[in-house]
Amino acid sequence: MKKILFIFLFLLVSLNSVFSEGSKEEINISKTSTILDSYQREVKIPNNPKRIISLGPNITEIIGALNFDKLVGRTDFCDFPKQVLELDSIGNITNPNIEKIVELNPDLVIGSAHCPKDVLESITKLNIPAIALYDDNSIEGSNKLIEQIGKIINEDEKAISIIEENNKLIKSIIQKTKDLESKSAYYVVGFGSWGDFSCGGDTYIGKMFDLISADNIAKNVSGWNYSIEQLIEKDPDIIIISKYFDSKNQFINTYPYSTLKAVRENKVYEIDNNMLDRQGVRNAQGLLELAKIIYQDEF
Amino acid sequence: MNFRINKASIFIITSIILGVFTIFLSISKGSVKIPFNEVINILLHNENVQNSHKFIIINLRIPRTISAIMVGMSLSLCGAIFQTLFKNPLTEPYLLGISSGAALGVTIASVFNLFVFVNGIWGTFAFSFIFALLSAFIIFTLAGKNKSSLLILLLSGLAINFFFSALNSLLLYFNRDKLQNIIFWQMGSFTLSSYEKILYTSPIMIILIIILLSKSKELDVLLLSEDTAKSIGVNVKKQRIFILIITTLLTSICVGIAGTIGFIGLIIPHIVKLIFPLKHRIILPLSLYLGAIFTLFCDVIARLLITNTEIPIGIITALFGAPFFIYVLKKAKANIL
Repeated sequence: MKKILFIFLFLLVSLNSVFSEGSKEEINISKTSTILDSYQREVKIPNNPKRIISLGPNITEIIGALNFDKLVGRTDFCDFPKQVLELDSIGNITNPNIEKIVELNPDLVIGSAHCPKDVLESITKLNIPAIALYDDNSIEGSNKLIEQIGKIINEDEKAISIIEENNKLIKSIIQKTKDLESKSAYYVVGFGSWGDFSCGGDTYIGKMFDLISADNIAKNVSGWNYSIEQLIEKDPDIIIISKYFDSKNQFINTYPYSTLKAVRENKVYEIDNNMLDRQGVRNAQGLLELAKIIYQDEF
Repeated sequence: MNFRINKASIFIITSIILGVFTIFLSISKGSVKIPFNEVINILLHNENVQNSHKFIIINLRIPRTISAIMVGMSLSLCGAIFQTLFKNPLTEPYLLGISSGAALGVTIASVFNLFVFVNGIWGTFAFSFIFALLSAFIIFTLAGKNKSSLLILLLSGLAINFFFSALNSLLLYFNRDKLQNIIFWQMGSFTLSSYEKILYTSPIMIILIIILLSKSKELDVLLLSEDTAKSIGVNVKKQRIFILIITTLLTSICVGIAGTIGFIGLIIPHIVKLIFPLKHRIILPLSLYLGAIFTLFCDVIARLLITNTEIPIGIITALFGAPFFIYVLKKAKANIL
């Protein structure tokens, strides 16, 4: 009896696969298209991908907001939205575990600007379309990226509505902060014995400060390099630091940072820097957090 | 008039001028530009000065200068002594792997939060000393058996370096949250110098330096053959171990202050011996002095090379040191390999 049942099941499975194979081919003919990714590579991708692996936290956030169910894999660094933690991780961003990627059987792999081209090439060679998507590091760039991913994963309308919502929020923040008096602020990107890093005027975080008319003490430098001497000289009213890695605690307890006015007056504020750093759906929210820290009660 | 100008007096006058100049450079230069007049004002009259500039000079640059001098003196001295202990021109704390042992100790202390005693300073130093000693004795055992063959010594140092650095990286992988403060620090930096640190470390460093300087005679003897040493009445083995422990202790304090900075102990004693191929009584104090100047100079470069930022001093010393190392290796090859 068992044997018969087994044979029956086996037949059913193989029949099923025969049929599905046929239909899959049919889909393939009509439902793939060639796109140009951000590395200018031509890649043939399915029109309506259903099993996507993201190789960048920002990509994960965007797909998570557009249609979470399409995600099947993430990197070790992807932690938003919360439920992505339940997905399998394929390792780190620059050197993902390719065996794990194959095992997850994706129909599309999307990486960010941090994903090396040769990693994508080697995934594509395994007949898994892999593309990199990124845009200018700015809020407009994020919007363009959301729109592009929306098109690729067949969620255009959702993408447009997210962008509109974000733009509305940003507009209202700009409107509100325009006439407020800004305290001088320092944004900690890195600190300690290996040097100090902040957002210079031409960096995208520096531009966010400009957007909300905030007084960024590093606005006159270009790029991310700063120094403890300049920080001491400017002695800002408030300091903004990542809420991760115990940064605030280490910062306020390390000489000479401990002598800064903002540290003495307890004006060091934590921010979820991922909202600003990741080019994705939370940039407007990040801008709001930044404005709340800088303008405090007035906002 | 008959000026008797010899090599020594030129050398001494030049190095004094160089020393004063470098110290002044270190105090007056940094990423914040403070005009010459103001620097003088801050140092002498302390009036009409901007408070923040005063703070930068008094509380950042001066402690930094003192730290660089202390560490530079010590590392250079340690290099000179290691070269004698191992009868080998290509040794110094960094190349022997002693610095990376010390660095591993520091990482262990901070990752496991073993910051005991005063602000963690002693906890850190205790651990860096233990691991530095460990690498020193591995090296010592290997070198002792092979009569300090250049090749064996260098390769052992390399292996210890790799092993301890790998352990270090492994620990940091598991403790990513501490990475920010430690990983780059392993290239060495004086950015976070403070009077407090200087106050706790300098007295001990000075005592250790004096002990080592007082061993000049013994070090001269160690360069002779063992039989000759015995006939003079020096217990070679005991002296070697004692001096090795003191030198390692001094090295590990340097690593605890500023991280691993390589090649100072190689370059400076070599230049000194090139000009004064004399007894340790002369070589050691000169190495001390020039080591301080060289380190200070490298620190100034580290501060000024890239506008608005500071890079680890270890990068600068390695840029000078590695080519120098190859030069010495080429010279030494004929005699030792």
